[in-house]
Amino acid sequence: MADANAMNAELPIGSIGRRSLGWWGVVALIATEAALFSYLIFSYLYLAVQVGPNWGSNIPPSLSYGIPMTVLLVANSLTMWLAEKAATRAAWPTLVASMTLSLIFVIGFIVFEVSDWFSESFTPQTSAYGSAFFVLTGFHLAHCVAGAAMIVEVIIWALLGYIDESRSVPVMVAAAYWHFTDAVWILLFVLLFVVPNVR
Amino acid sequence: MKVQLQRVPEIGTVAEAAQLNLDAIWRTEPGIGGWLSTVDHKEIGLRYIVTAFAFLLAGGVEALLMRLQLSRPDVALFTPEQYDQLFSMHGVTMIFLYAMPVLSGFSNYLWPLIFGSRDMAYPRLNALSYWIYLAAGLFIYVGFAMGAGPNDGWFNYVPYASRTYNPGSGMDFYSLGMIFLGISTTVGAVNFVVTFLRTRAPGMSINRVPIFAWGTLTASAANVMVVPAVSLAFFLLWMDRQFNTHFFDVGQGGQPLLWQHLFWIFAHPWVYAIVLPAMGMVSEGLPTFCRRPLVGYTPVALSTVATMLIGFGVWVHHMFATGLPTVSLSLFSGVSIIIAVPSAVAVFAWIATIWTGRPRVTVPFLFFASTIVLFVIGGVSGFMCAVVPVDWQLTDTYFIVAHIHYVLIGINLFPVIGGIYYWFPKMTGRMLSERLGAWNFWVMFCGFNLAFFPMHLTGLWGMPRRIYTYPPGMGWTMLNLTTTLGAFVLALGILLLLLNIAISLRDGAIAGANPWDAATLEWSTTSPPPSYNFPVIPIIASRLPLWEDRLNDTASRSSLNEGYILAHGRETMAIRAVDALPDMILKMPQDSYAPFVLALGMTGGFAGLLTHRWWLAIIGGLIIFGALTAWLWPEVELGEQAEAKRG
Repeated sequence: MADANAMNAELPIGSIGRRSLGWWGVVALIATEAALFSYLIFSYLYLAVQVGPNWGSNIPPSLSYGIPMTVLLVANSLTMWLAEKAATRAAWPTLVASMTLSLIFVIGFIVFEVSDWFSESFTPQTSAYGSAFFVLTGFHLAHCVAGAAMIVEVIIWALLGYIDESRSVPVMVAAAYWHFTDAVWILLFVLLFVVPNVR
Repeated sequence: MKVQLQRVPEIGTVAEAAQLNLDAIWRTEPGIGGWLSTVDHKEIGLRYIVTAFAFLLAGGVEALLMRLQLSRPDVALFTPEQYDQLFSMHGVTMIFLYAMPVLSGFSNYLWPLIFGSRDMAYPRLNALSYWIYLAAGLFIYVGFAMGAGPNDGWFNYVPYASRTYNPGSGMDFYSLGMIFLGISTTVGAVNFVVTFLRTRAPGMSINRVPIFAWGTLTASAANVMVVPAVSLAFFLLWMDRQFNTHFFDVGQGGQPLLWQHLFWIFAHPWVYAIVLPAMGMVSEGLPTFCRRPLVGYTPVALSTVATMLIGFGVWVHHMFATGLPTVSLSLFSGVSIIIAVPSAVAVFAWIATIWTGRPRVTVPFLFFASTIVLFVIGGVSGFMCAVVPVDWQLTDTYFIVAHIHYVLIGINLFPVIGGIYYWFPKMTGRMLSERLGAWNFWVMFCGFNLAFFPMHLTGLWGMPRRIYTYPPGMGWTMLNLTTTLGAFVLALGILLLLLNIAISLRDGAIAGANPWDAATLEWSTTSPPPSYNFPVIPIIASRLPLWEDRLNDTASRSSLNEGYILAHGRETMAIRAVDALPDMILKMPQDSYAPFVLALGMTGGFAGLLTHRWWLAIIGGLIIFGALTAWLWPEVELGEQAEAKRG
């Protein structure tokens, strides 16, 4: 038998930090979502390679949308990081303030994204390129909407006093989800906004 | 209610635990409420198995109808369109609605028992995964019943599946149904992965985990990575069909081959996912009946994982005839040949186990041992098709049909039925009849080989798959008649199984805790197990805890009668993933309606998408949001709220 001390140690109970099943769950969620976005990007690149030089649109997606959107999501990752730090110190005013800022950034991103859609010179029906552009950004946008709902719920839980330094898993989970969603955006930004403008 | 944030877990004996009324903590309330809200893995596992068997019967009837049509030349029992739907639904049913779910059922039922735990890591997710599976299966079958089943085979190639060539809603039922089912598979897979890593009994370090669990773990990890590929493929197809996007439309820059890539990136690993857990069952059963530990535990566990790793890189062997560059074909051909090596490791380990053991020929032994034979036949025909020129000759012929049936019936259905004979006593407390079982086995075995062995020849002699009839004088008439006869004999064998179950449920011999004198943990608790599985969470010291005295290969002994009591509400032990030292005490959720409501909301949502009733899709979305909020709301009893500390 393994040594008796380890078997008789005092153990934490319930939902705590990176040992909690909530954390393991979001790691698994990110794994499967990362696979999903890999397949989306694969599909985009596969079609691009098959089509060759004619891939894309005469007027490429505008960086004057893409850059502010990217800034907003990078800022969102920063505020989510602050929120997580605040939660582990039980500094709940900072926690709520940073989560609220995050929410504002995300809503800003969503507004920019939708207006970008309407400003494009092509539609999902124009060509395979248009279809791929809108489905890739659309999948990401859906993740942003779900993530915004997640932030709202965590703010409510923080205001209800459910979160402190020993019980901060919801903040950790939301932060991890958002770091992932923001990282995906960086890839999409390069692929869909930067590359078409520089080639 | 005050909830502590930490404590030293009490260690006690089974007798002490017996006075605590664990059943009151863990049981599901009787009645419809309990039925809809239960999160008990045993109940969910049984539902999975029963539902998967219902789909097996439906898929079997579809097969028999096709065999009637093909029994003689020029039979006109079905129109071509009806025949197309029959073979498509047969494939979809067997591969997606039977083969994987039945294994999920066994794993759900057995994992907490072989791990010495009280439930899966995410009990509510477990319930959700079952409800979605049921709803998605019915969703696809509703389409079929309305005459709108898929009609392009289970792999559903574009452009035939595109709206231009395939109007009507059959493809849309199939597309949305598959996305729906993918959610079930994914959440189920996540549950298995985390359960494997976190909720084994203390002491069950990574080198002591039963091979069956390695099989399901590997399949689940793969599903987490590959299910999104097929969900995406079906989503893009649905977009093309309903919103005029151009992913698969060559005229506008789309690519039909993109479908094939996305589909097979998923579907080849899936084939391994639906056999590896079943191979794991064989690795559990053979040692029991050969009275010795499995030969080569470590190589078998490693080769299970290796099969999947290599299996990620073989999907193009389904696409050899599509005109891809030679370099690509050579690479994927090479990998497809190499994958035979880890598969062969398991086969030789099984043979060595029988060879060096003292086999007791029981019905489960027959099913498990026959798996080896069928696997070798199916494996060799697969190996042949890994060679590009051979595949060019054989692709889309009945040779491939013979191959896939040797693989899927040989290494899924046969071990699953072996598993039923083996674990039925644990699940019900009664033995299945060995006498009727022997008939069951031999009728199935003969029927199966009679049906599918000649089919190799049918293919070699040029009969293409999926044709709805054929003229006389092609040289296929006798072969087809033989296959049809064999198919009905096989079906008779399945009926004998159902008969055996029906009789034995009432009159079978009482099993007792360990009727086979087996070695793993599930046999240490009563048959059927109590709601809490184990009075105390055992502490494990070897791979085969119930054979330690007999094998006597180490001095250490597992502690089954004295262990962690954990009776402050629903609790189980979490461990560190590799060395299995206790890590934390998990608070497990009560029964909950949230999974059922969530699945209902999803059903409404998908029905809305199918019929373009966007209001219905939105209502479905709101129900999903509401159910998720209720589900995830931090609960004091689960130790999820900061209040817990303040009490």
